[in-house]
Amino acid sequence: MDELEFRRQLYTNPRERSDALIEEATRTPKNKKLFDDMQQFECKLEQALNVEVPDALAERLILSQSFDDSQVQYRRKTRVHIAMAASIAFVIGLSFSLVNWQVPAGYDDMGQVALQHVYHEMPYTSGVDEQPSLQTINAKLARYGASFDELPGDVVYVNHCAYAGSPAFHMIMKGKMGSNVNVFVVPKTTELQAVQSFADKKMHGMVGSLSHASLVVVGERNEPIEKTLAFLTADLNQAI
Amino acid sequence: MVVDFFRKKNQTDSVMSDMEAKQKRYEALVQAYNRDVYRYAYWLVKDKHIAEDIVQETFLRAWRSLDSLKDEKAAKAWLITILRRENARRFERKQFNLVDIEDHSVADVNATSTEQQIENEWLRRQIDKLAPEYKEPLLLQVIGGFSGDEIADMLELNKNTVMTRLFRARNQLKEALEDDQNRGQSNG
Repeated sequence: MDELEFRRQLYTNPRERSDALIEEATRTPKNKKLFDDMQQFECKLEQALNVEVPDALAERLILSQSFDDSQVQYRRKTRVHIAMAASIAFVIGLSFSLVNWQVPAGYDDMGQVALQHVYHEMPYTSGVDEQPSLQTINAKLARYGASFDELPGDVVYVNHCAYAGSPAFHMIMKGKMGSNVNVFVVPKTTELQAVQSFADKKMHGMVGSLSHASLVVVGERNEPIEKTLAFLTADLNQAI
Repeated sequence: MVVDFFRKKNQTDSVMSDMEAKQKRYEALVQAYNRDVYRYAYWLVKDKHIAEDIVQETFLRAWRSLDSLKDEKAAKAWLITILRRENARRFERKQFNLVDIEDHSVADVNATSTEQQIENEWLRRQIDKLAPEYKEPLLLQVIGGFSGDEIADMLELNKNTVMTRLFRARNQLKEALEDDQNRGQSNG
């Protein structure tokens, strides 16, 4: 290694410790001095570059990631819900457009009955909050061959009711927007004309299909009832 | 028969443990590299707050694409690459008012400063005066601990260019230091 190369190596990477470099460093007093100089200089350089890092930077980085994470998860969840609701609506639309023709005309359709029922009972149910237990709900649901594994939400009222003269399950729960959402489980034996969705000026509703019953959800127009229908359909255990 | 309610739960569990593993990996990455990444950012922008903002952005982006990091040994270079891109983006977004370092009152220099601290601060100013193309390879080598080949990869230069720039960066600093010392001696 000549002197020029020695100098070049010391300046490009003073922390290098190759045998050739060490050998050259010990060859002459002048080289030894340059080597020591550059080591000392590198220490100063390292010290100068080593600026203070803010306190708790790592913790703040982890914290901001946790917020970012919850957003991503939330977005994913809503996407799944929308996808579920869309596919359920699609299947319902498909099946009911076929079924529609087989039901004799002249009967009330399921949606109108649901709306009438909700309006009729509104004076009695608007302020109630009976907080029925899971057991109470399942005891009433058993007759329709279904049950929940856990409370499906903020349930304020549950009972049997007469749905166009036939027995049905009626549950009221708090919707996303805070108003009451009515849920009916209507046995398939009821000869009501099937619809997939219905609405009037104030309320809207959707009908989903269980194995032996129809699931009807009615709520105010700003309530995202398609979501309610989707998760209830998913959460209901249906005995065959 | 009952609609299989438990399958959904199991899937949720496995999603959770994937998330936990990713979370642990991220936290390890933060603990291992936050200091070096911050120092690098600081020397790029010379402002504590902007540096921290860029580091935040860098680690958030790292989190979002953590799955693309296959080789843990490449983690530091990967983070620095994200950081450099983040810094470039900052300039695209908005042209900041650049404040000359001479205008800053530097907190480190005060009445109780030792001679060593004063020299340290002096050297910092000299480093900051280096042209960016000399400064950045030096930062990558001293703060990042990267080899000549790695620096060449990150800066998309050939290795000889990187070596030349490292040589010139140290040469400039060393000459400035010697000039300063000589002046000090002749004054004294």
